[in-house]
Amino acid sequence: MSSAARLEAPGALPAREPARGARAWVGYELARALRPRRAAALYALALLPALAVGLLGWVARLHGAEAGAMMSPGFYASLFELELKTVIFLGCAWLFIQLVRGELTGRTLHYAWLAPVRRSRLGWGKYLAGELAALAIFAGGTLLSRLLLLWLRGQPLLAAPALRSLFGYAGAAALACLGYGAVFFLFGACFRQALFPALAFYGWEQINFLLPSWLQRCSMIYYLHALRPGALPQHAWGFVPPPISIAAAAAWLLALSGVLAGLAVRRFARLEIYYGGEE
Amino acid sequence: MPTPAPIRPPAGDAPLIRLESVSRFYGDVLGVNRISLEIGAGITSLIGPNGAGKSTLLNLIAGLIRPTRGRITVLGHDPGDAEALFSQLGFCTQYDSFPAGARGREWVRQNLRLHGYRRADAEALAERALARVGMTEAAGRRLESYSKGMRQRIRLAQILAYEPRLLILDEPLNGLDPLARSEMAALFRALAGEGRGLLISSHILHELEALSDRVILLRDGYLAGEGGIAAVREDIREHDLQWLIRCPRPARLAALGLEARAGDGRPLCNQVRIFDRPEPALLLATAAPAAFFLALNDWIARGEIEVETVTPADDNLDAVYRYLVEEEPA
Repeated sequence: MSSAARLEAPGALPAREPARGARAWVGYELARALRPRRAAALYALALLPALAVGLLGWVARLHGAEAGAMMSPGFYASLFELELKTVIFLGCAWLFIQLVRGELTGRTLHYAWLAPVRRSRLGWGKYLAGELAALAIFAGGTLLSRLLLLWLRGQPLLAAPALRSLFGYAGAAALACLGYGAVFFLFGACFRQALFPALAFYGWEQINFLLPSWLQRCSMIYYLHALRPGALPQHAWGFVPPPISIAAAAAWLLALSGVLAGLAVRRFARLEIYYGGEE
Repeated sequence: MPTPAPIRPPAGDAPLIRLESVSRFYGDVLGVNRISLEIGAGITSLIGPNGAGKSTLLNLIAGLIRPTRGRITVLGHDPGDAEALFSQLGFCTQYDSFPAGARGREWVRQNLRLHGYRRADAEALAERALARVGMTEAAGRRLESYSKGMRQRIRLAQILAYEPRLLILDEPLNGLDPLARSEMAALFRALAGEGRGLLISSHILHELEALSDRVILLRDGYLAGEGGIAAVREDIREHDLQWLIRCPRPARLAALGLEARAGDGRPLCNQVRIFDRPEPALLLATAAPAAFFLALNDWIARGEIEVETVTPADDNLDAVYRYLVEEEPA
């Protein structure tokens, strides 16, 4: 019996399933986050490292130099440092703060609030959709720039070292999205003017190498540095960060992201909606 | 004609909405204070001037905000229990905003998907709801291009699509032209006829009057009155109800009315005005209409007076509203 035919019968509505509603919510949020009109700036930001690699390769070719020779092994490590601290940081700030604040300024959150989906599920769904979008955009951007560099260097893309490096950088970018995403989702849920705590956090991450080792642990970038395949850029001054294994760094990042996202979801689920004055 | 699903009647006489001494403050600012209410099936109108607390009350009932004090139960659930409540409750809020770029049909379907319906079912339910509010043709357009009236309709379609038992509508007639208002009013009556409860806030009083089974009046965050229109009026002792009585001897009726006393000692008539033209008539004001009409019947039965017609001079929502929520006339 078709749906239309079922509806003609005077009787019950078709069957509905709450879990299907939660899945639809994630799909809807993901589609919104990736919509070009909304995410154009994020796409442009994510393409910057690939553009930088391509530009340098082009300049190298113009001067008749071998791209591989011109681009030292430390080049991509420095570029990735910039990508972590700027592209992924700022991109996640924009994406995850907008997940909540965008709905409040656009006065549309009440539509979700009036759906028969538990509000904590709506919160987790938003975070998940944000993460999927961030992974697609920023881990995708990292993969693209790394692939371009390998191609310019003339290295075989399917060889084990290239693949290890590719997945290493993409994995670090993915964990950066997870961690920064959780922080900014929390900021979006807690602060009406989330820009200010985001700027403070940006400063904290930037000066991390100047901090004593025990304070360096209270940051995302400390754990992300441990995950990256390339060598760390050396600073002329500052403290040497205490060593941490890749597994421990990944576990810390996952745990920290989980706790922060949990706090954000808890706060999100308790939001009251009277736009302009929501608490 | 689309076939609406039958509505399960409320268990026993259980109210659809129950508020127990509910207060809501925004910091130091009063939203509503000590509201106790029970709202059942049929159409209930919520009226009051701007700032009276209508939207606050509706948002509390729908769980968009939480009460500072008191307890709310909607369809037997706490308003915070979204999973249990919002498949049975539809709320058209005062917020006239939509997600950017969405189209009408897609937006109604998306909401149904959020309710957990399969894609095909969501499509069928959306089409039925769009037809019911007369938006089938315009549903392919972007929501930004809609007129105010169309936005009202599409929001109504969004909640009608899953056939809730209780509909809460914040100013649903706002922005509609007279024909659309009339169509919408007919739709509300039809929905109430299907056994659903409707709680409607509006400042368009004459339309509510024709629609409402029950009225709730708010003023400055307080409940100013509730019940049937006449009952609300009866409750407000300090305001008189006016009646125009056509009779051959209005002076005699005026004398009787001014002399007589109600059971609690109050005069049955507070003010009278006698008219000779175009026909002899008496306009009187009474604070105790039930007692007055008992006395009037008695006078007629005893042959003291004759009465041709009795017409309420102000027994309508506009008069009640004016008395209760607006400034007193000088």
